[in-house]
Amino acid sequence: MSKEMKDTADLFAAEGEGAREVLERLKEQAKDALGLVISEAPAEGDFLGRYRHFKERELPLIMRLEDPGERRAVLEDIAKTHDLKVSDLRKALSAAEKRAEEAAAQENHEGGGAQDETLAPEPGTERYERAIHLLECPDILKKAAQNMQRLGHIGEPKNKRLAFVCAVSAMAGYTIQPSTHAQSSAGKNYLWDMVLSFVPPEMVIKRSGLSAKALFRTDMELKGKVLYIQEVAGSEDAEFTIRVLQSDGKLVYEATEKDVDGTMRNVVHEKEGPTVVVQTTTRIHLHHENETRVFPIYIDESSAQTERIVQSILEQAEGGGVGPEEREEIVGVWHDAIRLLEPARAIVPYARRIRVPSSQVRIRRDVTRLLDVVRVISWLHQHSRTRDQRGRIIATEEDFRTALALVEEPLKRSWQALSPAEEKVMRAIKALPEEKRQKGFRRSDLAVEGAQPRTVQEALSSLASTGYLERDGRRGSQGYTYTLVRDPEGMTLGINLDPLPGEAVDAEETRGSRGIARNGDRAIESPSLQEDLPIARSRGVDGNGQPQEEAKEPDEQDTVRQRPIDLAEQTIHERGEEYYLYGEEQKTKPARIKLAELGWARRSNVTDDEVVVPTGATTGNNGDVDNDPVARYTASSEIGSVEVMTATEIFQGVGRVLSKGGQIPPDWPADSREVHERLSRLAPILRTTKRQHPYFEGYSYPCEEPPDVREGYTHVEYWESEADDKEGLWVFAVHEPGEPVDREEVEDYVWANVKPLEKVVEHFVELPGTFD
Amino acid sequence: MSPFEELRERVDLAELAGRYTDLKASGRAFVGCCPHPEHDDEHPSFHVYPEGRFFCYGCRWHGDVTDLWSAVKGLKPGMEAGLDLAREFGVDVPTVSAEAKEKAERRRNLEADYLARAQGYHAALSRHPSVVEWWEGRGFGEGLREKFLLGAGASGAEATIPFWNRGRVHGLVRRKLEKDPDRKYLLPNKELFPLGYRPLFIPGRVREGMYVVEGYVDALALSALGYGVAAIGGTHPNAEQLKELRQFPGPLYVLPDADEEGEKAARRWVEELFPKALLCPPEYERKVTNDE
Repeated sequence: MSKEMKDTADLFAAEGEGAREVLERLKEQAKDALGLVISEAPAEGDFLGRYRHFKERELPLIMRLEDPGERRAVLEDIAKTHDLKVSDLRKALSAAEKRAEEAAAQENHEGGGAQDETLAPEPGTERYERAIHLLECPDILKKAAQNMQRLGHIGEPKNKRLAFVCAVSAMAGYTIQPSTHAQSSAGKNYLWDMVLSFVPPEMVIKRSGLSAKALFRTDMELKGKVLYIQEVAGSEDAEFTIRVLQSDGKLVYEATEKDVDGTMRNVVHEKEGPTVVVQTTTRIHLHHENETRVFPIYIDESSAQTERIVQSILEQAEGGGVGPEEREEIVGVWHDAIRLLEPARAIVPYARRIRVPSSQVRIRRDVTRLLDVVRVISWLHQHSRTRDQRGRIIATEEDFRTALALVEEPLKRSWQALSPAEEKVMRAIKALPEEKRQKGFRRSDLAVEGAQPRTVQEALSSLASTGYLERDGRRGSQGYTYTLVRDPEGMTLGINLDPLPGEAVDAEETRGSRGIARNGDRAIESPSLQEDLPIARSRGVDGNGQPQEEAKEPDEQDTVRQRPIDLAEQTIHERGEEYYLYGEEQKTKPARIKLAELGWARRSNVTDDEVVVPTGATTGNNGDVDNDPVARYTASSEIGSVEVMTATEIFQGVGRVLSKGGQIPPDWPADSREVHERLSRLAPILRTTKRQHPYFEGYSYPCEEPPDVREGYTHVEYWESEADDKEGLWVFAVHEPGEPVDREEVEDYVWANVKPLEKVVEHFVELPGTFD
Repeated sequence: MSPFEELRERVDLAELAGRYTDLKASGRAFVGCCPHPEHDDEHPSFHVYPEGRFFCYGCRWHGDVTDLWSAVKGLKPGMEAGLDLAREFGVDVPTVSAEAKEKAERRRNLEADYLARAQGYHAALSRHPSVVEWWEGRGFGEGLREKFLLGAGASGAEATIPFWNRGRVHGLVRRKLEKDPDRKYLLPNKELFPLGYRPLFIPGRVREGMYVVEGYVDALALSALGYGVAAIGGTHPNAEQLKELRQFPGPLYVLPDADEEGEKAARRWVEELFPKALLCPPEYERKVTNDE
């Protein structure tokens, strides 16, 4: 029975020239995407299903045909195939064409006509290089905050970072909705004006207010954009629309409208998101349902921040700060950098190790939002992050820590449901005599420092609606009477990342130093949340950092063979390697670590640079090196090559010696032990003796030129296993004088040879796409 | 004067074109078979005009000395080809930025380095009979191994494939031989590719009606049969690869791997490249006729 053929390589291997016949047949059977989609339409009789199939699957493809005549012709074919009326299909096509024209017009409009500014810079240009340089920055958020400070926005480093993450989140595909709260003139719009100046202008839609239906009917393209509504007051009618846009990521609205011929007909208005809606408000809370969808950003209203802002304004007035040209240059680089970011999914491979307290009802949505922040941060750093086999960006643990630092305060406030003003009022309440707190107090009893009476009133009302206070319901001449029914939980955030097995101690220290509280932590209990927090199997750990047996799945036993090393999950975030996995550039653990885990190490007395060259074997007098056939054996290696062999392999003259006429040199060692002894003695001499080695410098193709010859040293290492049941490996790396030996490359080669000896199966764990 | 104007001025187009095709005077122009690597011109349709421009009436290719140099040398059109041409003819183009020069030089150096390494690994085949055996098993005899500079590396634990793109080596692909071969390809980091990204793997000529495949050995196999082919090198083409695919002449025939992931990926490609791309069914078994 012939082997199953999986691809053209198999076909060629099996059939050789005979493969042509198969390839020609396959070519004849090829179909384009539209043909494939048409063939997948629902069965006959299901008219509605087929019409929907046409609109959802076929029409988008038809719209990509440039020739309108071709589009019309395709409709005729589809009408016949699906037994649908061609007139209905034409109407749908016309509507789609109209929408496309409107979108194109809007795109030009929003772009302000500066077409070249809306395009990402081309590779090879200076703009491109500068943008890429920025994207390769290890901490882009820090850089953004620094640049904002340079442009005059002082203080509030976390708010700036979080606002920036929110601003780019729609582009990243993980929309994070902010709401910005502070008193009037506290700098809400100043923050957003600054943050959004870093986002390409074509991606920002700025409005002072919105009417209820404005978003449904707008010609603006909302997808991937930031809609900046400068003041919520005045846009209350649009609150529902905004809520839907935030939660559903699109708007669908059906209305009865008059047609051109005067007849009434129903029209469906659709606006595709996702869109980040930036709202600033002096109100303490947004609509309750809106609030659960947003990250609140509370502007620093402290006197210290006021002082900093005043200082900055004064400095600028004195002529300090950044001029308009430099400002343009700074934001221009950010615009280009953001334009260059590619759409890509991001995964959080350690999500199962994230520990979250389960005491709050809102936790599910909040955890999802926290993970979205992690994903957006890793998406922003896509030029310095690893991707998995499916091209998804792999978030690092540092991304998680950065995200947690940014959202800690907003989440805590959300969970406590207390705004800064509410906190102030609560403090004033606690300062009241016990009797007043329990039996009732009025607004006039409270001494709230630095707060307007209206703010206090709002805070009391809000505390009552969230269950902290109870009010008697009768508003007398001095207002309501309130009683304190529950104290805000003195809870800390309690989110943290469990250490990997074996890292428990270090991780504990790290956590302590980062000040992330752990009191009351419990693993997530919700089964549905467990589904949302996925990840490669068998890495679950209990509270003590011990592996959880139950986390393993039955089929894992089949996939993990012999001495498995799970490379993906534990070390996916480690960087610094030159080579990646097939196409998808998945990162692996450094060979040095893998070797150490299996008990393999360099033998220092052979490989240490400090080894003293034996007497009589000095540079320039090659002595043994020229005469000893074992030493000569290594001289035919080309410059830049790395050879890894056991003494036995060398003794047997793998390939080279025997191929030279099949004669073993007269003074060739008697056995492999002698090879080993001679190399132990020769190693330091080889490392310090220049010899002639081949060097391939041919530029022609195919290779016809004889190799060049250059001087080089042979760096020798000897690797052995602590298990003592395997033969050690000799490494010969030939390098030119002045060119250092790439130790990592050597380790990679050693690892390639240790793997079969140790029977290691490197199974690169496919990270489940649970977040998709 | 721009570098390109300088080159038009200093490099004789007829002399340059004459290196690649026999030109004969015909009125004010010179005429010969088209030297474009992708145009098998049998009847002279390539005209060189005294103004320093050429036009092929067969394939509609046209341009100046830099365009000609770019095509015959497989260089990126524009500055990179211009710089290379300037170097060849000793033309000083002072207006070129030091940065552009440096980049072009870096690219050339990297390509040269990869080619040298590919040749080294190819030569190393003689020391690794197990790798030779593996190549033989895949249908790549000595002639094909030499043609594609297929090689052996890492003590015989790997087969190596030069990362071909239009006649140039953009990197080295290492194929581990021991187990699970589908996941055993190693590639340079994208920064180490001369272009700064991983281009398509194109082991032969670009022709009309290219095949598009997932794997490098798939592409080598098709190229060995004389077909034009490009490999994505995985299931997810990057933006530059998609751009390059869209620029190929004629339709694209996508040959998916016959597994779920491969078929899904190929389906995504044909949708992404609609209407240019066509999906072939993944049925690689040869139909046995009664005569066989």
